[in-house]
Amino acid sequence: MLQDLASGLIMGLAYASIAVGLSLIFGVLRIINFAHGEFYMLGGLILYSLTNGGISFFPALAGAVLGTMLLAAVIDRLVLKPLRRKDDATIALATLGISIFLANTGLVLWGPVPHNIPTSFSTTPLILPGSVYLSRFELFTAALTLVAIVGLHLVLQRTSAGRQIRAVVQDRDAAALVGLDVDRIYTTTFAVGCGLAALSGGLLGSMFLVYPSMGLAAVLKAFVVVVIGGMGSLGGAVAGGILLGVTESLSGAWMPPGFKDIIGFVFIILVLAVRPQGIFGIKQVRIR
Amino acid sequence: MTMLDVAKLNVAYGPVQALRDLDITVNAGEIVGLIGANGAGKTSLLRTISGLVDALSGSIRFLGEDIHSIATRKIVRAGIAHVPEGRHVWPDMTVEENLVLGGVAAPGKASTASRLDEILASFPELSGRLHQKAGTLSGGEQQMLAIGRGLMSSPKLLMLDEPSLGLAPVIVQRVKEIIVALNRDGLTVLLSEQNARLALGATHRAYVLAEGRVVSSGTPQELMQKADLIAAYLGESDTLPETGDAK
Ligand SMILES: Nc1ncnc2c1ncn2[C@@H]1O[C@H](COP(=O)(O)OP(=O)(O)OP(=O)(O)O)[C@@H](O)[C@H]1O
Ligand SMILES: [Mg+2]
Repeated sequence: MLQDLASGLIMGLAYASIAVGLSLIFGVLRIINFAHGEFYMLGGLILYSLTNGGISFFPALAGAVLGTMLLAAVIDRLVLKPLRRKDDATIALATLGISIFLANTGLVLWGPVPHNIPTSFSTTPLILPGSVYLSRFELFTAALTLVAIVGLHLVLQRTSAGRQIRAVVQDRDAAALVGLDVDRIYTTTFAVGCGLAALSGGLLGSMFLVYPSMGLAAVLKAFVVVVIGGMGSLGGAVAGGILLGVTESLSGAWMPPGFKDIIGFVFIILVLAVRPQGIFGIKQVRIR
Repeated sequence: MTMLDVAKLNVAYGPVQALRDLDITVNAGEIVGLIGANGAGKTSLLRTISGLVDALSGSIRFLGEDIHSIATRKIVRAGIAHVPEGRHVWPDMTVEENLVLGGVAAPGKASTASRLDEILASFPELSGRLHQKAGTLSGGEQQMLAIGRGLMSSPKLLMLDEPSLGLAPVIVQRVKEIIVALNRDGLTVLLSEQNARLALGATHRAYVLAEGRVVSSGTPQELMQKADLIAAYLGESDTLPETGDAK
């Protein structure tokens, strides 16, 4: 029981960081990034290639995240920027196109076979009170994910760049009218959101396996989390991610394997029926 | 000296034409009014000057430079501040955060603090509320904040879109005093209004807009002679100021 709770928390944090990126991008750019899972996949596969090329784990992870962010920034400039004044459906289709393009590029570059990423962590598990076994890498994953989410929160609340992002979320026209560079804020936010997905892709990919279609499952979880937590709410994404991770893990103990993925969709149906703005969401979308 | 020169401006939203061959000029040191009923095109004109809306054709020159179709942030840096209709303060940010962000684009970052002090001196209603969320301010306070935020970029031209909207008469009077005081300190103002009392009581010259065209223009005294015409364009609910009220 405690073991399931601990594993669930770790998965939940990873779900949360994927969902936080998705939610941040939605809050600022007002688009649903259907390619989010593919940036998660790129984080994992680039990390695989870098470690495979002899680079040690930590610089490789940093390289995978920064490389994905750079690619996201370029894609925003080339594909999304020309569509800024177009309607939502056009932009949603464009991100769907990016998703298909990246998934197939992944297939061409890495092939369909799953790969294993070696980490420099010892494999002897740590035994926590209550005889909870956790690998050192799982703990590292949880800690790094937490640092990334808390760091993002502090940047949003405390820095001038963060204030500018919140200004765009709360009123885009007003942000433009005081002279903020709204286009650059869009590009930065898109890159940061995709970078969070890449970080999770690298970390979870190292726990499990990496392959070009791994993004689909991840983005589905992120959508579930965002619906539970409320679109555009960072705190909601964190709470929703942990709720989903823990519930999945606890139910795995008494449900047949393979049924676990149903949980998320049961959540969606319940939440949408009872509280359509999400458990933690406010009716009006905003990042506080 | 001509500060702003808009010539033959045409703007459309799909099939809806909002401005038709519109010409206006604003000279340095003036307060110029834009009067017109709902849908006359006041907001469309200001948003086009600010680069939020693209014009179909025509020219917009500010201090001799062509600013037609350049990015909004460059227009702000050139010296135009636009206080939008409906105030548009950032509701979940504090008064202070709203003001500080207003100064991000201002030339000379070092003086943000001193500009903040200056603005708080002109808007005493804000100085006690620096840490209050802007969304919790009254409508009048939000309007003062929106104007203060616009002033943080040290503009040469201040464009105000219906600052009297939804405000009690005393507050409208206060807005008028602020505009006149700012102008006395050297600021040029373009004021869009449905409230003819404010539009004619505070301005040196005004344009009357209807269906995207200028249908009349002149000093408040001249326009007052055509009171019937203005009343017709504004609709019945709007009352004209007494002749003695004009500045
Ligand atoms: N985003 C938009 N899409 C389509 N039509 C628009 C849009 N904005 C304005 N219009 C139309 O353009 C015309 C001019 O509107 P505008 O808002 O400029 O008028 P206004 O003088 O500011 O009116 P008000 O006093 O009500 O603010 C109207 O017919 C309006 O319906
Ligand atoms: Mg208007």
